[in-house]
Amino acid sequence: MSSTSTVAASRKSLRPGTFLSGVRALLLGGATLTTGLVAGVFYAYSVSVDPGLAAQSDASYIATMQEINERIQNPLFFASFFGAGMFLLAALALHLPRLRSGRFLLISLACLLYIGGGFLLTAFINVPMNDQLATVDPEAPARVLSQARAAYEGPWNFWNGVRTVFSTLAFLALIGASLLAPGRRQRAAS
Amino acid sequence: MGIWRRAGLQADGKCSRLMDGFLAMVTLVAALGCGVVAGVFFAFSAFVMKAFDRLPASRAVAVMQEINTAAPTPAFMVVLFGTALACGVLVPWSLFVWGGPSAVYLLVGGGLYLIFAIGLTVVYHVPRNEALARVEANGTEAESRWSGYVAGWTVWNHLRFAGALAASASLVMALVFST
Repeated sequence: MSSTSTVAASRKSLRPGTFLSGVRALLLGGATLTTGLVAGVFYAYSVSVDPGLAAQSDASYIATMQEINERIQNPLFFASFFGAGMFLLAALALHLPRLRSGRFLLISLACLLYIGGGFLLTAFINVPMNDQLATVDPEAPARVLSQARAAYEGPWNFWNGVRTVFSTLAFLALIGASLLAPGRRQRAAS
Repeated sequence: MGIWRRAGLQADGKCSRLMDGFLAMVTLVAALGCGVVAGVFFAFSAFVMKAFDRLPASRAVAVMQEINTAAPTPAFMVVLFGTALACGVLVPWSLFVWGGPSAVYLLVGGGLYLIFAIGLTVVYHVPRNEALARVEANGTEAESRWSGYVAGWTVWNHLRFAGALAASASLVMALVFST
């Protein structure tokens, strides 16, 4: 197929013909941006917060991490963290009638990557670790603090790296999905 | 590789398909980078600075100094300035393909990132970070220096975040309209 006819064909399918296709585009756009934000938040820990706290004393590390874990529970962050999951599921649901499209495939992939490797990983690994850390008194004896930190810092940073990779891949898959026309079977999805 | 061709930025037939594919990839990388950098700024705007502000000033100063020392890792610099490089290609390119379907989005996206994410960082945040690095964390002026630092830093960081997020959205739109 010549490039001009490909362009003309996909341009036509992008034209917002129906209300539903506009909603689909909005949901996909919302999913893309919120997933990107959450990926960036995890990335911020990996490249900035975690290495920055590494040199702190045990008491300082624990007190700072406790504050961060408490402050992250705010409407702004929750809007992106839960919002990404909801945008993704809504986008997936509205693309169900386009089951064989490349876009549906990429949205499904992004759902798996973000909901599994970002959202559930956080809920079942990082959050329980944070709850455990929250019970430690930063004024406790040095031995207690160093044990608590040793049990937390290494594994937490590792799993944060894992969720960074998964949610960034989900972000990439969603940008890819945005590029594909919504309603047709795509050769490009191969 | 059909997707790259399909995503090729159309220059009204003036440029080769290879060049289209290359620029589509640059736009994709830039959109990804802008989104991730926006998320990094978002973390500081939404909760990291609020958390530090609740610590005693001496501890907040020490932690922030350490973060500012640790942040220029290759892993972060590659993303921050790699994205800037990509935007630096896309902005002049948008003028070259002016009138095409994605030119405005390329110009706005690339420009927003360069002005807000890079410009503000260089002009505002880095000088403040360097000034904070000279503060004695356990000294008497830590308290006043910290409160002066955290307020302005956070407000201007909101702008870095908003600029980078809008840039990412605009570059995704550029890709969408180029197909």
